[in-house]
Amino acid sequence: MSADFDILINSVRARLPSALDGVVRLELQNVLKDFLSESNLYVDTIPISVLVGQTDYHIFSINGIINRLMTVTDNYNNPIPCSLVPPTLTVQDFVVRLAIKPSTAATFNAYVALTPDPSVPVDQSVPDWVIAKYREGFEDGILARMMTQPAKPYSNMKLADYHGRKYRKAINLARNEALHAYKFRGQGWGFPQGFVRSGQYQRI
Amino acid sequence: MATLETVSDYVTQSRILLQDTVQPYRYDDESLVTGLNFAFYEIARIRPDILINITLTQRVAPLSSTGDADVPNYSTAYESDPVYLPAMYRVSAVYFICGWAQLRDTEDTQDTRAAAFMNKFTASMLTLPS
Repeated sequence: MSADFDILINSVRARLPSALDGVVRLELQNVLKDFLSESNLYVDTIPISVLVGQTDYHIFSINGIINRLMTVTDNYNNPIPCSLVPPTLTVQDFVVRLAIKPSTAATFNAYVALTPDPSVPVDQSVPDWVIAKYREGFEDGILARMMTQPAKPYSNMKLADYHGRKYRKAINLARNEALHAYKFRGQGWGFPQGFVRSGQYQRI
Repeated sequence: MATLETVSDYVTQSRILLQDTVQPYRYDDESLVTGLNFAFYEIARIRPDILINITLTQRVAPLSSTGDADVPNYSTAYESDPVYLPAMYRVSAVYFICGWAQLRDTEDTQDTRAAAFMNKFTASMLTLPS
Protein backbone atom coordinates (compact mmCIF):
# COMPACT_ATOMS: atom_id res chain seq x y z
CA MET A 1 0.00 0.00 0.00
CA SER A 2 1.52 3.30 -1.08
CA ALA A 3 1.73 6.50 0.95
CA ASP A 4 -0.56 8.15 -1.61
CA PHE A 5 -3.19 5.46 -1.13
CA ASP A 6 -3.06 6.03 2.65
CA ILE A 7 -3.44 9.78 2.14
CA LEU A 8 -6.39 9.18 -0.20
CA ILE A 9 -8.24 6.95 2.28
CA ASN A 10 -7.46 9.23 5.24
CA SER A 11 -8.63 12.33 3.33
CA VAL A 12 -11.92 10.60 2.54
CA ARG A 13 -12.32 9.49 6.16
CA ALA A 14 -11.86 13.07 7.34
CA ARG A 15 -14.49 14.37 4.92
CA LEU A 16 -17.04 11.59 5.48
CA PRO A 17 -17.66 11.12 9.19
CA SER A 18 -19.00 7.66 10.09
CA ALA A 19 -18.33 6.24 6.61
CA LEU A 20 -17.12 2.66 6.65
CA ASP A 21 -13.74 1.73 5.16
CA GLY A 22 -15.26 -1.21 3.29
CA VAL A 23 -17.74 1.08 1.54
CA VAL A 24 -15.04 3.68 0.79
CA ARG A 25 -12.93 0.96 -0.84
CA LEU A 26 -15.94 -0.31 -2.76
CA GLU A 27 -16.64 3.16 -4.13
CA LEU A 28 -12.93 3.61 -4.90
CA GLN A 29 -13.15 0.46 -7.04
CA ASN A 30 -16.11 1.96 -8.90
CA VAL A 31 -14.34 5.30 -9.28
CA LEU A 32 -11.13 3.69 -10.57
CA LYS A 33 -13.05 1.67 -13.16
CA ASP A 34 -14.98 4.72 -14.33
CA PHE A 35 -11.92 7.01 -14.31
CA LEU A 36 -9.68 4.61 -16.23
CA SER A 37 -12.44 3.63 -18.64
CA GLU A 38 -13.09 7.25 -19.63
CA SER A 39 -9.52 8.52 -19.61
CA ASN A 40 -7.69 5.57 -21.25
CA LEU A 41 -4.67 6.44 -19.12
CA TYR A 42 -3.74 2.92 -18.05
CA VAL A 43 -2.35 1.33 -21.22
CA ASP A 44 -0.70 -2.05 -21.56
CA THR A 45 1.41 -3.19 -24.50
CA ILE A 46 0.79 -6.76 -25.59
CA PRO A 47 3.15 -8.30 -28.17
CA ILE A 48 1.44 -10.38 -30.85
CA SER A 49 3.36 -12.88 -32.95
CA VAL A 50 1.49 -12.63 -36.23
CA LEU A 51 1.48 -15.50 -38.69
CA VAL A 52 1.12 -15.36 -42.44
CA GLY A 53 -2.53 -15.32 -43.46
CA GLN A 54 -3.97 -15.34 -39.92
CA THR A 55 -6.12 -12.37 -38.87
CA ASP A 56 -7.39 -13.33 -35.38
CA TYR A 57 -5.16 -13.28 -32.28
CA HIS A 58 -6.21 -13.86 -28.66
CA ILE A 59 -4.89 -11.25 -26.25
CA PHE A 60 -4.84 -11.17 -22.47
CA SER A 61 -3.39 -8.71 -19.95
CA ILE A 62 -2.12 -9.72 -16.53
CA ASN A 63 -2.28 -6.09 -15.41
CA GLY A 64 -6.03 -5.57 -15.57
CA ILE A 65 -9.20 -6.00 -17.61
CA ILE A 66 -8.98 -5.02 -21.28
CA ASN A 67 -11.42 -2.18 -21.87
CA ARG A 68 -10.49 -0.74 -25.26
CA LEU A 69 -8.07 -1.40 -28.10
CA MET A 70 -6.08 1.79 -28.66
CA THR A 71 -4.06 0.66 -31.66
CA VAL A 72 -2.01 -2.16 -33.14
CA THR A 73 1.36 -1.35 -34.67
CA ASP A 74 3.60 -3.44 -36.89
CA ASN A 75 7.30 -4.03 -36.37
CA TYR A 76 8.04 -0.56 -37.89
CA ASN A 77 5.62 1.05 -35.40
CA ASN A 78 3.08 1.82 -38.14
CA PRO A 79 -0.59 1.54 -37.14
CA ILE A 80 -2.44 -1.44 -38.58
CA PRO A 81 -6.19 -1.43 -39.37
CA CYS A 82 -7.84 -3.75 -36.88
CA SER A 83 -10.73 -4.24 -34.46
CA LEU A 84 -11.27 -5.84 -31.07
CA VAL A 85 -13.73 -8.72 -30.68
CA PRO A 86 -15.07 -9.00 -27.11
CA PRO A 87 -15.21 -12.36 -25.31
CA THR A 88 -18.26 -14.58 -25.59
CA LEU A 89 -19.60 -17.31 -23.32
CA THR A 90 -17.42 -19.84 -25.13
CA VAL A 91 -14.37 -17.69 -25.99
CA GLN A 92 -12.97 -16.14 -22.80
CA ASP A 93 -10.28 -13.90 -24.30
CA PHE A 94 -10.49 -10.71 -26.31
CA VAL A 95 -9.50 -11.22 -29.93
CA VAL A 96 -7.60 -8.71 -32.06
CA ARG A 97 -8.83 -9.00 -35.64
CA LEU A 98 -6.53 -7.59 -38.30
CA ALA A 99 -8.28 -6.14 -41.33
CA ILE A 100 -5.57 -7.32 -43.72
CA LYS A 101 -3.96 -10.76 -43.68
CA PRO A 102 -0.26 -10.44 -42.80
CA SER A 103 2.06 -11.40 -45.63
CA THR A 104 5.06 -12.08 -43.38
CA ALA A 105 5.49 -13.38 -39.85
CA ALA A 106 6.44 -10.59 -37.44
CA THR A 107 5.84 -9.26 -33.93
CA PHE A 108 3.15 -6.61 -33.72
CA ASN A 109 2.20 -4.66 -30.61
CA ALA A 110 -1.36 -4.22 -29.39
CA TYR A 111 -1.91 -1.21 -27.12
CA VAL A 112 -4.94 -1.74 -24.89
CA ALA A 113 -6.53 0.55 -22.31
CA LEU A 114 -7.19 -1.31 -19.07
CA THR A 115 -9.53 -1.04 -16.14
CA PRO A 116 -8.66 -2.57 -12.75
CA ASP A 117 -9.15 -6.27 -12.12
CA PRO A 118 -11.94 -6.43 -9.49
CA SER A 119 -10.52 -9.66 -8.05
CA VAL A 120 -7.35 -7.82 -6.96
CA PRO A 121 -7.40 -5.71 -3.74
CA VAL A 122 -8.13 -2.14 -4.78
CA ASP A 123 -4.82 -0.74 -3.50
CA GLN A 124 -2.92 -3.20 -5.72
CA SER A 125 -5.14 -2.98 -8.79
CA VAL A 126 -3.43 0.02 -10.41
CA PRO A 127 0.19 1.22 -10.43
CA ASP A 128 1.15 3.58 -7.61
CA TRP A 129 1.81 6.45 -10.03
CA VAL A 130 -1.86 6.49 -11.06
CA ILE A 131 -2.99 7.07 -7.47
CA ALA A 132 -0.17 9.55 -6.87
CA LYS A 133 -0.89 11.64 -9.98
CA TYR A 134 -4.70 11.72 -9.83
CA ARG A 135 -5.30 11.35 -6.08
CA GLU A 136 -7.44 14.48 -5.82
CA GLY A 137 -9.60 13.32 -8.73
CA PHE A 138 -10.20 9.94 -7.11
CA GLU A 139 -11.01 11.66 -3.82
CA ASP A 140 -13.62 13.85 -5.51
CA GLY A 141 -15.08 10.80 -7.24
CA ILE A 142 -15.42 8.86 -3.98
CA LEU A 143 -16.91 11.84 -2.16
CA ALA A 144 -19.43 12.45 -4.95
CA ARG A 145 -20.54 8.81 -5.02
CA MET A 146 -20.69 8.46 -1.23
CA MET A 147 -22.63 11.68 -0.77
CA THR A 148 -25.30 10.60 -3.26
CA GLN A 149 -26.08 7.49 -1.19
CA PRO A 150 -29.53 7.89 0.38
CA ALA A 151 -30.13 8.19 4.12
CA LYS A 152 -26.54 8.15 5.33
CA PRO A 153 -25.03 10.52 7.89
CA TYR A 154 -22.84 11.86 5.06
CA SER A 155 -25.56 12.20 2.39
CA ASN A 156 -25.28 15.67 0.85
CA MET A 157 -26.56 16.28 -2.67
CA LYS A 158 -25.19 19.81 -2.87
CA LEU A 159 -21.64 18.76 -2.04
CA ALA A 160 -22.03 15.64 -4.21
CA ASP A 161 -22.71 17.91 -7.17
CA TYR A 162 -19.65 20.04 -6.35
CA HIS A 163 -17.33 17.03 -6.04
CA GLY A 164 -18.92 15.39 -9.08
CA ARG A 165 -18.01 18.39 -11.24
CA LYS A 166 -14.43 18.39 -9.93
CA TYR A 167 -14.24 14.66 -10.65
CA ARG A 168 -15.39 15.11 -14.27
CA LYS A 169 -12.77 17.84 -14.67
CA ALA A 170 -10.06 15.50 -13.36
CA ILE A 171 -11.11 12.80 -15.86
CA ASN A 172 -10.90 15.30 -18.73
CA LEU A 173 -7.45 16.41 -17.61
CA ALA A 174 -6.27 12.79 -17.34
CA ARG A 175 -7.68 11.94 -20.77
CA ASN A 176 -5.93 14.92 -22.38
CA GLU A 177 -2.63 14.17 -20.66
CA ALA A 178 -2.74 10.53 -21.79
CA LEU A 179 -3.67 11.62 -25.32
CA HIS A 180 -0.63 13.90 -25.44
CA ALA A 181 1.62 11.19 -23.96
CA TYR A 182 2.25 13.33 -20.84
CA LYS A 183 4.32 15.76 -22.90
CA PHE A 184 3.88 19.50 -22.45
CA ARG A 185 2.30 20.91 -25.62
CA GLY A 186 3.09 17.60 -27.26
CA GLN A 187 1.11 14.90 -28.93
CA GLY A 188 1.01 11.16 -28.57
CA TRP A 189 1.02 10.53 -32.31
CA GLY A 190 4.37 10.02 -34.02
CA PHE A 191 5.04 10.07 -37.74
CA PRO A 192 5.25 6.46 -39.01
CA GLN A 193 8.95 5.74 -39.20
CA GLY A 194 8.52 3.56 -42.27
CA PHE A 195 7.57 6.62 -44.29
CA VAL A 196 10.24 9.01 -43.04
CA ARG A 197 12.28 10.59 -45.86
CA SER A 198 15.77 11.52 -45.00
CA GLY A 199 17.74 14.29 -46.69
CA GLN A 200 16.42 17.23 -48.63
CA TYR A 201 13.91 16.87 -51.38
CA GLN A 202 12.30 19.37 -53.70
CA ARG A 203 8.56 19.69 -53.90
CA ILE A 204 7.40 19.59 -57.52
CA MET B 1 -12.41 0.13 31.69
CA ALA B 2 -15.49 -0.67 29.69
CA THR B 3 -15.44 -1.46 25.98
CA LEU B 4 -17.99 -2.80 23.54
CA GLU B 5 -16.47 -5.92 22.03
CA THR B 6 -18.40 -9.00 23.08
CA VAL B 7 -22.03 -9.93 23.60
CA SER B 8 -21.52 -9.71 27.34
CA ASP B 9 -20.15 -6.13 27.00
CA TYR B 10 -23.35 -5.08 25.23
CA VAL B 11 -25.48 -6.74 27.91
CA THR B 12 -23.52 -5.06 30.70
CA GLN B 13 -23.61 -1.59 29.14
CA SER B 14 -27.31 -1.88 28.35
CA ARG B 15 -28.00 -2.74 32.01
CA ILE B 16 -26.23 0.44 33.08
CA LEU B 17 -28.46 2.60 30.87
CA LEU B 18 -31.51 0.61 31.98
CA GLN B 19 -30.53 1.13 35.64
CA ASP B 20 -30.76 -2.61 36.13
CA THR B 21 -27.39 -3.53 37.61
CA VAL B 22 -28.55 -5.30 40.78
CA GLN B 23 -29.63 -8.95 40.78
CA PRO B 24 -32.23 -10.31 40.34
CA TYR B 25 -32.30 -8.45 37.03
CA ARG B 26 -35.49 -6.91 35.70
CA TYR B 27 -34.25 -7.59 32.14
CA ASP B 28 -32.66 -11.02 31.82
CA ASP B 29 -29.72 -11.76 29.51
CA GLU B 30 -32.00 -13.55 27.05
CA SER B 31 -34.12 -10.47 26.37
CA LEU B 32 -31.10 -8.16 26.02
CA VAL B 33 -29.33 -10.50 23.59
CA THR B 34 -32.62 -10.75 21.68
CA GLY B 35 -32.52 -6.95 21.51
CA LEU B 36 -28.98 -7.16 20.08
CA ASN B 37 -30.11 -9.63 17.41
CA PHE B 38 -33.09 -7.41 16.53
CA ALA B 39 -30.73 -4.42 16.31
CA PHE B 40 -29.00 -6.20 13.45
CA TYR B 41 -32.33 -6.70 11.66
CA GLU B 42 -32.89 -2.95 11.87
CA ILE B 43 -29.31 -2.22 10.78
CA ALA B 44 -29.83 -4.48 7.75
CA ARG B 45 -32.91 -2.44 6.87
CA ILE B 46 -31.63 1.11 7.31
CA ARG B 47 -27.85 0.74 6.91
CA PRO B 48 -27.10 -2.36 4.82
CA ASP B 49 -23.62 -1.01 4.07
CA ILE B 50 -22.62 -1.80 7.66
CA LEU B 51 -23.11 -5.49 6.94
CA ILE B 52 -20.87 -5.50 3.85
CA ASN B 53 -17.81 -7.68 4.54
CA ILE B 54 -19.06 -8.47 8.04
CA THR B 55 -17.91 -11.75 9.56
CA LEU B 56 -21.09 -13.56 10.44
CA THR B 57 -21.57 -15.34 13.74
CA GLN B 58 -24.39 -17.73 12.98
CA ARG B 59 -25.01 -19.81 16.08
CA VAL B 60 -28.50 -20.53 14.83
CA ALA B 61 -28.95 -21.14 11.12
CA PRO B 62 -31.75 -19.00 9.65
CA LEU B 63 -34.84 -21.08 8.89
CA SER B 64 -35.44 -19.23 5.67
CA SER B 65 -33.34 -17.11 3.37
CA THR B 66 -34.85 -14.39 1.23
CA GLY B 67 -31.54 -13.77 -0.50
CA ASP B 68 -31.23 -10.39 1.20
CA ALA B 69 -28.54 -9.29 3.62
CA ASP B 70 -27.56 -11.95 6.12
CA VAL B 71 -27.32 -10.74 9.69
CA PRO B 72 -25.29 -12.23 12.53
CA ASN B 73 -27.14 -13.72 15.47
CA TYR B 74 -25.96 -14.15 19.02
CA SER B 75 -26.89 -16.36 21.94
CA THR B 76 -26.65 -16.16 25.72
CA ALA B 77 -24.78 -19.47 25.58
CA TYR B 78 -21.86 -17.71 23.87
CA GLU B 79 -21.64 -14.33 25.56
CA SER B 80 -17.90 -14.05 24.86
CA ASP B 81 -18.55 -14.00 21.10
CA PRO B 82 -17.31 -10.78 19.47
CA VAL B 83 -20.03 -8.57 18.00
CA TYR B 84 -18.96 -7.45 14.56
CA LEU B 85 -19.99 -3.82 14.45
CA PRO B 86 -17.78 -0.94 13.33
CA ALA B 87 -16.60 1.17 16.27
CA MET B 88 -18.67 4.21 15.30
CA TYR B 89 -21.96 2.28 15.49
CA ARG B 90 -21.49 0.21 18.65
CA VAL B 91 -23.09 2.66 21.04
CA SER B 92 -26.08 2.89 18.67
CA ALA B 93 -26.72 -0.83 19.15
CA VAL B 94 -26.79 -0.31 22.94
CA TYR B 95 -29.47 2.36 22.44
CA PHE B 96 -31.55 -0.10 20.44
CA ILE B 97 -31.20 -2.86 23.05
CA CYS B 98 -32.34 -0.46 25.79
CA GLY B 99 -35.24 0.85 23.69
CA TRP B 100 -36.32 -2.66 22.79
CA ALA B 101 -36.18 -3.81 26.41
CA GLN B 102 -38.21 -0.86 27.64
CA LEU B 103 -40.83 -1.19 24.90
CA ARG B 104 -42.11 -4.34 26.58
CA ASP B 105 -42.69 -2.55 29.88
CA THR B 106 -46.22 -1.48 30.58
CA GLU B 107 -45.56 1.60 32.69
CA ASP B 108 -46.30 4.86 30.87
CA THR B 109 -43.05 6.43 31.99
CA GLN B 110 -41.06 3.71 30.24
CA ASP B 111 -42.73 4.44 26.89
CA THR B 112 -41.11 7.84 26.72
CA ARG B 113 -37.67 6.43 27.52
CA ALA B 114 -38.16 3.60 25.02
CA ALA B 115 -39.10 6.07 22.29
CA ALA B 116 -36.12 8.26 23.18
CA PHE B 117 -33.72 5.30 22.89
CA MET B 118 -35.24 4.17 19.59
CA ASN B 119 -35.06 7.68 18.16
CA LYS B 120 -31.48 8.02 19.32
CA PHE B 121 -30.62 4.72 17.60
CA THR B 122 -32.21 5.79 14.30
CA ALA B 123 -30.71 9.26 14.43
CA SER B 124 -27.21 7.98 15.12
CA MET B 125 -27.50 5.54 12.22
CA LEU B 126 -28.76 8.07 9.68
CA THR B 127 -27.61 11.54 10.63
CA LEU B 128 -24.73 13.52 12.05
CA PRO B 129 -25.35 15.96 14.87
CA SER B 130 -24.42 19.42 13.62
